[in-house]
Amino acid sequence: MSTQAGRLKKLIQANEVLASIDSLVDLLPQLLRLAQEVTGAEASSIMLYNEEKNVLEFALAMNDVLSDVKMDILKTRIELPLGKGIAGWVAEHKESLNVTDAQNDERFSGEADKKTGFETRCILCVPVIHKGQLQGVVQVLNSSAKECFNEEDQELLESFGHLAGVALVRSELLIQRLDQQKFETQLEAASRIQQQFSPKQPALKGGNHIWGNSVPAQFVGGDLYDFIPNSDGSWYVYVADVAGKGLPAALIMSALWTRIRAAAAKELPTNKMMEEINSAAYEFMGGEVFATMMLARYEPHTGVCSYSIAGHPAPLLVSGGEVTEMRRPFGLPIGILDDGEFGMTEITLEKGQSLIVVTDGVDEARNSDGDFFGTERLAEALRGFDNPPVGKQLLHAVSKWRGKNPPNDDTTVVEIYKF
Amino acid sequence: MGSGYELVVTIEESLIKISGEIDFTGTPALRKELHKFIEVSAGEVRVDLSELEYLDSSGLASLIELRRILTQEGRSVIIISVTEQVDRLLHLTQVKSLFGME
Repeated sequence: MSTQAGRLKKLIQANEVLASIDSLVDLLPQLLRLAQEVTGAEASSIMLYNEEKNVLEFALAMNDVLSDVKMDILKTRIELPLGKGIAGWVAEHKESLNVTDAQNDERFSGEADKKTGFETRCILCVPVIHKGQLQGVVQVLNSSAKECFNEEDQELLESFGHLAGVALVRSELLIQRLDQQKFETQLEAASRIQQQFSPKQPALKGGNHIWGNSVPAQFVGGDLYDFIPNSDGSWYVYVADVAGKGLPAALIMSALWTRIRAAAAKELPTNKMMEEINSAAYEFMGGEVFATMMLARYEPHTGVCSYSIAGHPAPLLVSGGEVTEMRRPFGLPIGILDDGEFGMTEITLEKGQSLIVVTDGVDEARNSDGDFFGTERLAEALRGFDNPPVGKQLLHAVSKWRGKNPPNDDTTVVEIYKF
Repeated sequence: MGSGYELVVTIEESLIKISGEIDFTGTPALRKELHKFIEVSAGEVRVDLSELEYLDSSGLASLIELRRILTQEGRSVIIISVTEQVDRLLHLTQVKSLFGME
């Protein structure tokens, strides 16, 4: 009874220690110290199972008899194939082994002894298993008080092996969670940087209003819009949507942003500017990814808005409660062909009229039933708003439609309004 | 969404049939399969999308990539049949002419 109680106490102690340790680096020495204590051994070592290579790797060894110098020999990560040596045998069979005469056991490999000068008399080795999965093996060498390890030691070390398994898996999970946290911190930083790409709303005279907003589906997205002033008082206003989403789309998006800014400096008509953007974008998109785009050049003093389209949804004219889909001059999405050509057309915005440009995240927004917001509902929403500007209300309506459903695509709305 | 796609190829006829749904989660696998198909097939490739219920922009990008590689080899690709949803996307992005449609 007293031995039972003593064993239990040791195991509870072990459990408490293991539960309080978070890092693998701190965990392994504690594991070994405990293993050695509960069994009263001279030395111990732990090997972790590398599933990818299907080998055991020496993780740590502890020896109360040998000097530190000799211990260093064991610290180098020795690999042990499954089935080789006592530890390899235990790992392969997922069974404990209590060897009372190591030197005469054919499974015993004397290599470590040769290197260190330690003489292994007996070995008790148990597998560390968690939920049926091999995590590694723990072995203790030479009982300091007895001739060899007995059945009680074996049971104790086996119980300890289970605790160690849980602790190992837990520390592995903690490492993963830390990695995940690091990654998310970086994404949040990336998200803040990407928000810097969004232009400020320009202060325009003479009753003109240019507004835009973009909501990424994930931290960062592939939607892009910008307002760039020209020397003649006109403004380039564009919306672009890089295929895909998340980080890959965001990287393409930021490269595209700089190419468009560079092309804008030439102050070309929209069709010629689109050609410039396309050939510059083809260099890094290389026909593997594309972006759709609507590029307008708006003259606030006249209301004239000329524009070109690269595979993008048509702009919508909201006027007096009516919504009209504007003409789409032909143009392939940018980044598909190195020598794309683009059409150009123009409309003139009258007072009270609003031109809305969206990305497909708007009509592809799904509600909790999986239904799309759709072009019909988009037009309906735009008709239903009192008076322009309506961009903000539209984005609001889309988010309401989506409800708690996470966005499945980046969503952008840009509006040019004359009042 | 997310139920995945199925790809059936008939190499002798250079015919590809893609069914189901393609979104960005299935695109990497699809690209690999298409690259493999390009290597073992010859001549004009015909793509049957009559049972493709959903195609997103990243899926479309992989079809455009297929076309680009084939064009570099002096080959061509045509889409022989589409569902309404896919037709809408091809129309919206104005890429029908790339695939011998219209």
